[in-house]
Amino acid sequence: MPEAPAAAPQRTTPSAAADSPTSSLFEQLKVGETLPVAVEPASLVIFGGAGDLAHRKLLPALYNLHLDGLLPPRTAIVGVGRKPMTDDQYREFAKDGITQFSRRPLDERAWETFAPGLFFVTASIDDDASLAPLGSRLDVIEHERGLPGNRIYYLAVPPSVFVPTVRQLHRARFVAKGQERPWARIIIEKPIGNDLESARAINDAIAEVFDERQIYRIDHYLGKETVQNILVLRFANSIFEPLFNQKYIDHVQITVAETEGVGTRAGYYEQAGALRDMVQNHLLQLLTLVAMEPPYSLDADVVRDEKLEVIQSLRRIEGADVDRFVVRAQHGPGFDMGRPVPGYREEKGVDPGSRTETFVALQIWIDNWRWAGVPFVIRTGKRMPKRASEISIHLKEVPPILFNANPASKLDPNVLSIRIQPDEGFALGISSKVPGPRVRIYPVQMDFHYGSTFGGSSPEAYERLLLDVMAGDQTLFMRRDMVEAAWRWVMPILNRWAEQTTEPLPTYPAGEWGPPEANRLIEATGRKWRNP
Amino acid sequence: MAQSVVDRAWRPTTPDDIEPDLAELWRTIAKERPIARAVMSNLVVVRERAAAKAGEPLTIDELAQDLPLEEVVARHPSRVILIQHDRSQTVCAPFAVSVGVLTFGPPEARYGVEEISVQSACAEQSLPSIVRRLLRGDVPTSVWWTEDLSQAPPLDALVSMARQFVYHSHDWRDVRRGILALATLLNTGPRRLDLADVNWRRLTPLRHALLHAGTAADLDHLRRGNVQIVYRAGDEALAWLAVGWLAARMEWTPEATPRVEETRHGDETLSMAVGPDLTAALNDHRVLVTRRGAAGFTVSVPQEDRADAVAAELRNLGHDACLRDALTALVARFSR
Repeated sequence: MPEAPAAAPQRTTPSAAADSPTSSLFEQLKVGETLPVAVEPASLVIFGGAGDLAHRKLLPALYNLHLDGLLPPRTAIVGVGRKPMTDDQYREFAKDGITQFSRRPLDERAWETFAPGLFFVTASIDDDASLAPLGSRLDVIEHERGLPGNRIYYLAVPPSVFVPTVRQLHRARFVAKGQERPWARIIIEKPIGNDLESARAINDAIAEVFDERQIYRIDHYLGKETVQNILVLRFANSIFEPLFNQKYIDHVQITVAETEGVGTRAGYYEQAGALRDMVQNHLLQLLTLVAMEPPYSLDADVVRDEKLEVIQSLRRIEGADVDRFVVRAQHGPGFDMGRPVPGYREEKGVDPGSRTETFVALQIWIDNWRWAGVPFVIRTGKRMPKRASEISIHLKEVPPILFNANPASKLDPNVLSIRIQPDEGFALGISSKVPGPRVRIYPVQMDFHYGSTFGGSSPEAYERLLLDVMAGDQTLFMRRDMVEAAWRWVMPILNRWAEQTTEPLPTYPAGEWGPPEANRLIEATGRKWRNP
Repeated sequence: MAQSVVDRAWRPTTPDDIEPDLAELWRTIAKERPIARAVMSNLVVVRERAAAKAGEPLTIDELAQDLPLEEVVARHPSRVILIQHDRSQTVCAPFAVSVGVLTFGPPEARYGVEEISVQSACAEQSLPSIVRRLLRGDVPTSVWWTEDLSQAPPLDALVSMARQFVYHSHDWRDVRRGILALATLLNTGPRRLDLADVNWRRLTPLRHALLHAGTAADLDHLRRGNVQIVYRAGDEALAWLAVGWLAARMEWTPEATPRVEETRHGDETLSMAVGPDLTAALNDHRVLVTRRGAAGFTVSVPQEDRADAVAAELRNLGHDACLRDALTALVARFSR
């Protein structure tokens, strides 16, 4: 979240403050420092350290933090995995990932100072003694690097291994619940469960070992610059917030489109589908940021309380309403930038008779004072024409008089569009007179691009999120009650679908913006999709 | 006055790297000097060009040959998506892609326009997947059909993405086929498609002149189709647009048959005689209206080149009822 202005009381990091019963030199010197500088050094233990997420995202993110001088000095990054690997081999693995996936090219001099902080421990969670090598190795590393014993456990492993890993950490005495100094934190990735029941089971199991303020549930969408900018746009500009309500907003659209197919994730995706994979987490998180009330402070729990209220205000879609307000579909074969691509059922690892949805569109109502009567239409899908995530806020039309009097040439309503990816930024569409003697009106854009305005590339979401975990700031992470509230809301939809085992599933050709049923969903309200 | 291009930054790329490479180009340019990104619309330009050899790319200059593309986007900044489409090929996937930023304006007010060129031997069914990827959703989309519609009818899938369809009927070799090719575009149902014929602009001064010259006596001749139109060679489409306009406004029945003739003499682009008394003659500079036994008058013709005209049409989003009615009347006439 943004730094407080200079005149405001200096913000402290909530958990760091709670963590600090002793008055160390660090505590004294960090007074008045901004967040990144005041991060305590720690060991980051990555379970699944030799996996794809670590290779593509985590290690490049940590390297970029290092490049920016934001990674606390002496930080140890310890990959953990079953596969035997030496520290040097792990450094090569990291170097390869950084070379391929870092937003900035590998700098050999920076690498030389980053690499010594990388370690690898071969360990498993198969039995009680299996984490012993990790414990002894961490002790040595922390002693050698002068670390205070703060640890972050990152579970970059399949969800089925979350609970066993946490239990092993507890049995092996790596962590004590509520432990404040040295502190211990845990990061888990979505999906958190496959339904409400399984989400609760995971949360219960983790809660046996970690206190809620030690738990960081990552939704990487929340780490994106533009997503963070939604609150800034709304609450740091007096022009927008007065308009964000049912008096002025006609409807809101959220589109999260992917061009890729299921790729290597068929095993997971077959069990998940678009609703579980994208809507229950990413899209509902975006919706909460657009719709939430102004929080009274930027404290993590205050912001998250407001977001939770939005989820709790969502009108439930149940029974026959699911058929009316939700469209699911599966992509067939088609084209991606001119190249033929297979249908979902022809993808490797996918059941040829699969009924898993690769696309979902919903019409959602928020039953509160602010948004009463304003539809939120959201959609997400695979194999769509372009990779794009966008929120568009459509203002009401001007009355059909004066410049909008001609029904054949109606004015375009104003639209505030927030581009989350790619080409992060936002634009405001307004009507303007074309120069000349006649009154002709053209929809023009006031357009802001992060890339060309601020230069350089924006930090990756994982950079911000990892730094926040180190700083103990939970604002951008999902709290247990929010995760479960989101599951509670999607469950009636999943239940309805589970009953419908024979109805034909709508399809759409790969490379198109979804099935005709999705167009009908929005056109029934007199509106149409805005393609990013 | 429109700006001339002051800089071009180009780089070849791949289909998957179009957006990242464009972003990189913008960043590079922004480092050198402040620049505003200007985009009023998506401008999809389709060129039906067969490559000399399958899979062999044309240079960007070859691709945009005879097309005042830079001049148009200087006047109406757009995200240009220049597609070379080769109908003779059935192989899919673009084989040459490049991205560029054209810079205009004085140093203190530089603005840039992005251009994406895709050369593809894609089948018609796969071509839309390329264009769909490249369109920006927050601005209107115009398709500028630079080919002769009478020979290369528009691709429905491309037109379905557009809000405006711009063409120039002057280029048609077969007016009847050109008009009939537009028939489906006139009936897009509830979806709004604005048609813009650059040639139609040329008729505007003549229409204005007739509005001011007409009398009750002329009306009777006009209603009965007692009209003779003589056009300069190459301007047959313009003549028929005039017929379409009159047919729509005078509600001509099939029996009303104006005489439409070509001439290879004189410097008039188009002359229209209404009955025995009234004549309006259009050339590149004026419309001269003469009436037997009365003083004539002239209406000035605005001087604009093709880039001016195309840019003006792009800016002029909207429903041109006169053009639409004229085309509808011609479709009915040529369908018989």
